[in-house]
Amino acid sequence: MKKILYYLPLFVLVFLLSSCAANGRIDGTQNMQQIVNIYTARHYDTDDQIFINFENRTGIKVNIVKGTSDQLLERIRTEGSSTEADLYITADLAGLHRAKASGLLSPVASEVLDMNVPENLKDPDDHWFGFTKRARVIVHSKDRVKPGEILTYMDLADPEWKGKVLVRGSDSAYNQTLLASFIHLMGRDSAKEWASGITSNFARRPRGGDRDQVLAIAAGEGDVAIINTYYLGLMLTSSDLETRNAAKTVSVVFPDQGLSGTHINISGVAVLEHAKNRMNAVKLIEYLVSEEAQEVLASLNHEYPVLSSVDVSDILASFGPFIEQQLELSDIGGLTETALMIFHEVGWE
Amino acid sequence: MKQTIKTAGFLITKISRGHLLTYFAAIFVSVPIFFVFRRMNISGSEIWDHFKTFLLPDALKNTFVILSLTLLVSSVIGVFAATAVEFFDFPLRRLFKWLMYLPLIMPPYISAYVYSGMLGYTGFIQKSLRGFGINYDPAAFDIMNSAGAVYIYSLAFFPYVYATVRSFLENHSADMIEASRLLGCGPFKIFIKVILPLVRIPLSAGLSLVAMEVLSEYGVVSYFNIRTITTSIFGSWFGFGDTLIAIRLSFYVLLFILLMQSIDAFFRGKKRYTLGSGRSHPISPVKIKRVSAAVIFLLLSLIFLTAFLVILLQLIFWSISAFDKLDFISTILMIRNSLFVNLSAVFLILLISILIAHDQRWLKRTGKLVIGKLTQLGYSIPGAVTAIGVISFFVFIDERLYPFYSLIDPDTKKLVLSTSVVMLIFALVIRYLAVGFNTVASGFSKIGTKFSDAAAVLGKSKIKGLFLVELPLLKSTLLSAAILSFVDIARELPLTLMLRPFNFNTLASRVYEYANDERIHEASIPALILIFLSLIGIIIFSFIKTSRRKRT
Repeated sequence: MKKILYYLPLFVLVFLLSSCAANGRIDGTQNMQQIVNIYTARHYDTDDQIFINFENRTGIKVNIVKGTSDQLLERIRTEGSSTEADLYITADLAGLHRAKASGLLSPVASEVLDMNVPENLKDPDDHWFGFTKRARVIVHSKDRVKPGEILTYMDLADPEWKGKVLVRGSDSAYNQTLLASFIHLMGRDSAKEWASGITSNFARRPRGGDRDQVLAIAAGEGDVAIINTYYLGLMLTSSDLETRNAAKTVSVVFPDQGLSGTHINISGVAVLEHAKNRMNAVKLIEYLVSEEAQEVLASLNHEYPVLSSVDVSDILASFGPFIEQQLELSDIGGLTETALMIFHEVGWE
Repeated sequence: MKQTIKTAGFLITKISRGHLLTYFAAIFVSVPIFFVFRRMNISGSEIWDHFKTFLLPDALKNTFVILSLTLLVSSVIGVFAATAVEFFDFPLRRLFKWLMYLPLIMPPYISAYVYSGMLGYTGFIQKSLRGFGINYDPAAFDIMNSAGAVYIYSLAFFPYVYATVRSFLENHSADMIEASRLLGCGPFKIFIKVILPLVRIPLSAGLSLVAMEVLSEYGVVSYFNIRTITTSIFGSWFGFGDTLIAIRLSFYVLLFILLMQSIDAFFRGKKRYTLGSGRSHPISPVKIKRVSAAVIFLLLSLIFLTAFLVILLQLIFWSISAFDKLDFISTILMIRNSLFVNLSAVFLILLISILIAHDQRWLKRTGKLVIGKLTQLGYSIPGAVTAIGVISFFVFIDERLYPFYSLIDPDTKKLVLSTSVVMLIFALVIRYLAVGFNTVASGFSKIGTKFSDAAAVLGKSKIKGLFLVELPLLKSTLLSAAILSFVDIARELPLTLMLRPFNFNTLASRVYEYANDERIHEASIPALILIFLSLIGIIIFSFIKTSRRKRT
């Protein structure tokens, strides 16, 4: 028995090395199988489903590391030219913009992508492509706010709504892109004025996620909130009855119709500069914007498809059609940092 | 000249007798931290100026408030619980002795989600109030603020205080307490005059752990949207894409922790609180009045309920509604992965701890201090920042090892280690080494060097003495170290998220993915499994502790 103790460290070493070798496939079998390696900041069951469909269709094995967008970016940066990652997927614009600015992405020329992805939802140099959209809308209490009483983002900054506005904190990427779009549309000063107006209308200190704002309306803590359509969709289909009931107490307003349109943010995908499986990576991007994949995303994940021929889910359809901001998202990507600075300056926690 | 060479030669042989390996191990585990701080740049930048003007004051204020209140509340709870179960006789005393450890396995970010769900609009409290038609102010149930963070942290981390204080009292105080009793002191006087001065040492050790946990915790303060140093570290990283500020802030946090520890050490001075007789015997708990026993019983029950049971029940309740969405195969894979990385890390932590703790008994005071601080580095800064260092370190190694990889397989990829689970395990080791090492080191210092000396006298090597005598003696210490590290690693999140290899999901990463998507019902199943795995660990731990006591 005692003897075994002497050898234990050796066993562990062998065990670790072998597990590492198995993972690293040092024997070269990986060359036999076609693969594509993804670092993704999206972690939805729908994405897993789509990757499985892609594997079945093409025989290309999809390997995934999930994380948060900036941590993954740091990993890609550190791995440098040796990286194993081929694709970078994020649910926010800033990550894509930073990846491009750091020279980590490479352009993709593809007819499918040109055809399926609207011009304003992709990088003008073809470094990244949006593949789903979410609208950042206003919801208000059905009881306490009359339809038509609030129509624009600017209305939220009006003193009339003092003590009634609910929104999450400024560390949220969704708030940063929203304000970035205003900076682009009306300049830094006016955008700051808006942020400052909203801040003085807060019903309570910002906290929690988008869902918490809807719950606060249901609870009567405030009357209007800024949220992503995606989370309201999740709440309306929740397995919890109370959550569904709470979500039914609000109605959706698509702001700025007839003006510059409702703000949308995207999930985007990009091929990395040092991708080792570039061909497969491009195939996967093309698959993501194909009708088949877009239908899965639209019907199961409460997101708006970028492919116009695909119908939105019943829940999203019940919110009604709307006009989007027609901004070049690539112009907004570089402004999120200015937006965050404005939030700090006006004291939006 | 000749003399110098002789001295130098003597020194080298002296070091090479074993200390070399110890220093090497200690430095090896701290290299990634140096990799991070090597990138630090303390020259000014636009973002740093902005940060200093708008965020730093709030961040410092909130961190100070949350940290000091958490330390205060967790000392009160921890010392109260430890004193109560050691000195007084009340119903279910033995059960409470280990129930008080359980909150340790509840990840604070899960408690935060559960509490805000429970107290929120759709939670059962507000639901019932509405059901009874009672009017109430929803803001009264708000937990998402600094006070709420203190509440969550205190209940999650007080077991560190409880554990250190209790084991100290158990081993060291019986003589003094009995002497005081003989001299006619009442329980209250004993508490003030004897126990409080006595527990200062274990209390500061426990609080040091609490402080490090609070200063690197991100999930709770981020969900509650409170500006602290930790949320600033990540806010500037994710918001400005600026890792430099994140690294710089972590460095200041590290300096702060070292400063606090030095102040603590300074005030303690060179006093040594070892007791005359090496033999300790347990205290016999005193019978107290029925009312006092009832009060103690109720207070401890309240602590256990709020810190553990309520959260557990809510999770179970939620998981029922999400049960039909459970994917069994992937869940089993996640359990396997979680156990594999966790147990490997625990094993390595023990190995390194034994190596260093065994040998450092022969080191001078300064040497011990240096080793102690080196092994603690990873525990003192946020996990995600450690992760940056670990990646840089492993990519560095892989690039050096590439020629060897090519010898084995000419078509090999460059990043072998850093795309494998080895990187994650190593990161967990350096992050949690302090937890295991402190326990193991205190065990070794307790038994002293007498067995090694005896082995030497008998002509056996130190290694033989270690394996044949010392390790068997320290079995239960090693087990405590293992379980403590296991429980801590099970809660870990940022390292796993940033360092995992392809297609590698763990229970904690799954919890994060759902919770981050605000799907707390779905998150409850992996969270429950995680908690039950740790629970099994704690049960084994307490079972072995009690069976050992019965034998002696």
